[in-house]
Amino acid sequence: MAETLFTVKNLKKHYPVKSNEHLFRYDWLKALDGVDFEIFEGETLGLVGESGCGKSTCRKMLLCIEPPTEGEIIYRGRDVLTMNSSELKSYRREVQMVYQDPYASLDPKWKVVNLITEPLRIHGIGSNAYRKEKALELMEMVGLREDYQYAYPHEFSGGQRQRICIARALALDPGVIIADEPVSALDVSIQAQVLNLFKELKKRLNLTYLFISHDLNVINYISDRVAVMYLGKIVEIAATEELFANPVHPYTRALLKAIPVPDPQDKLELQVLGGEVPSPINTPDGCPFHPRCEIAVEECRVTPPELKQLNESHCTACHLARVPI
Amino acid sequence: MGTEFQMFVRQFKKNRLAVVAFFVAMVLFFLALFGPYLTPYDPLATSHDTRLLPGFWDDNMENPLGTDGLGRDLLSRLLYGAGISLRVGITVIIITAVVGISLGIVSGYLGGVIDLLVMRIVDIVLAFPPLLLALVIVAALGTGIERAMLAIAIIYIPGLARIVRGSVLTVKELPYVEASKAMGGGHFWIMLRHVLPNVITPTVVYLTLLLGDAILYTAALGFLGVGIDPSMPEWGAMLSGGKDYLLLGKWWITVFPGVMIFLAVLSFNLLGDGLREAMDAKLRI
Repeated sequence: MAETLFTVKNLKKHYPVKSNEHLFRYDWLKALDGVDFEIFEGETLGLVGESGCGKSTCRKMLLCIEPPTEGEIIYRGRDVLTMNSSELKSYRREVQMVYQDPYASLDPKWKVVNLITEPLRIHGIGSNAYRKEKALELMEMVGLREDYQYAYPHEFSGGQRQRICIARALALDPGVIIADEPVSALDVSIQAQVLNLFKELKKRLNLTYLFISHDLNVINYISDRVAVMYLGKIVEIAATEELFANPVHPYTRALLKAIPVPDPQDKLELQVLGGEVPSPINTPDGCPFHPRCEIAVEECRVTPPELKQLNESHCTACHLARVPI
Repeated sequence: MGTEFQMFVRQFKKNRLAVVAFFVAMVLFFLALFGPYLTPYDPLATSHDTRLLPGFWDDNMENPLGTDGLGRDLLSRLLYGAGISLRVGITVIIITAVVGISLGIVSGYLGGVIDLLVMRIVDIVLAFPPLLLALVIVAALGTGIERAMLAIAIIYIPGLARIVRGSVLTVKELPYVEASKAMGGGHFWIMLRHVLPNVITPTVVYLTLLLGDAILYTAALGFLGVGIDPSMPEWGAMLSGGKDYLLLGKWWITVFPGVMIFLAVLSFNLLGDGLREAMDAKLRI
């Protein structure tokens, strides 16, 4: 088995929000409520879940943009949260990011060549000439023409912008790329191109991805393993084929059933999950999914389930996991 | 970078008004630099015989723009005053811009206690009537044209800091700022490289409008005896000094300095607009 790159243990992030009923009291919005997972070197871990389930908060914690309320993030044996500034700087060199919105994640006042070399300039690497050469090399790698180097972001389409973002993420030769919904703002045809680029780069540069998305087709296409999040918790982690063939958690099943099938003969009978996601401010007792779960039993309303190992590559947090349904 | 500059010029030329404004501003700068050498008469010399003479419209070719209540040649005074007035205006703009933008960015970006502190000071300054505040500052610092300029700048800094802070609050939540942070960019890097270029646009208009205000405030302070020496040919001082003669029908004493101030403000404003458009890559075609 490959080396463990990231170990995330019991990660929690609670945001204070003004309470409606009490003037001076705060309620806590539990964006992340105890998340555990590992990322192995060279794999692509897909993180999937509905809007507001904590995927992006998870990204912010991993990139050290906000400190978590509780928990540990261990990268290659070192705790990221207790790193000193020079360690953190080298950590930032190794872990890079691609964002959801390629329109907003590029500074509109900067030229492409400067955008791509920004990480090099921040870390003070190389001379101007070296940086420019590197920028051209990266542009070629992600499929951008050389003569675009002095253009501004608004002159590009969404897909091209995402290529610029990818080039920027690769500038420091990182080992890990965290991609937060990198294709959800793109057209379907462009999505495929960008996903293929991700795959190709991974093979070529031996990268590790944490790929956040709400689109199961995308996740299925790109991931080696998939983690399903619901309301600030991971409810199921498994190898991609295993998860899609044999989902155990009722939430995962509901998600899989809701994937549209591109077959006109197939009657349109998407089984859409009833009810709404509970507010992360007043999370339900017991299993967070029980108010919407079809098979919930008494235990689910009382005890929060822990992640259980089902087999070598499959974990789930459901009391009824062993009961065949 | 040659190409970049050429693009800039090409874009700037598309705005005809801005080009005209550019030439007017150039003429004003020329006057500011060389005006004192072009004056036909001593701008400070008074004479009882030449009081309140009308100008070329009354076939007085000796004093083409007439003379004021102390017999001083208006044209000479206007030429001589260009340097003083523009220096006042531009110095005030520079002080206001540097301090106001820095305060706004630091306050908006860092937030927390610093933001609270800066914004409360801004509130306090804004609560004073501007002229009164300028008077107090000049009274505390001592009189003189430099102190008057500083006092006027202090009046305008809070407003600018507010405007800038508002834009900073929007910019700092954008993903490219988070991206820069995730790459390892420090606060200083982000403030200078990302926040500053993206908040500068809305301030340009505010700053160009300040030119006229600064000239007039200098005059007001001079009138109250705390700024510039009222005998000096500063345009604002000439304007306010001439108003007593308006009722006597001697309109030229106020109108010509007014026209100069108007030209300066308008040309700077249009120029600022044109520069902003030409600099903003998004508006380029």
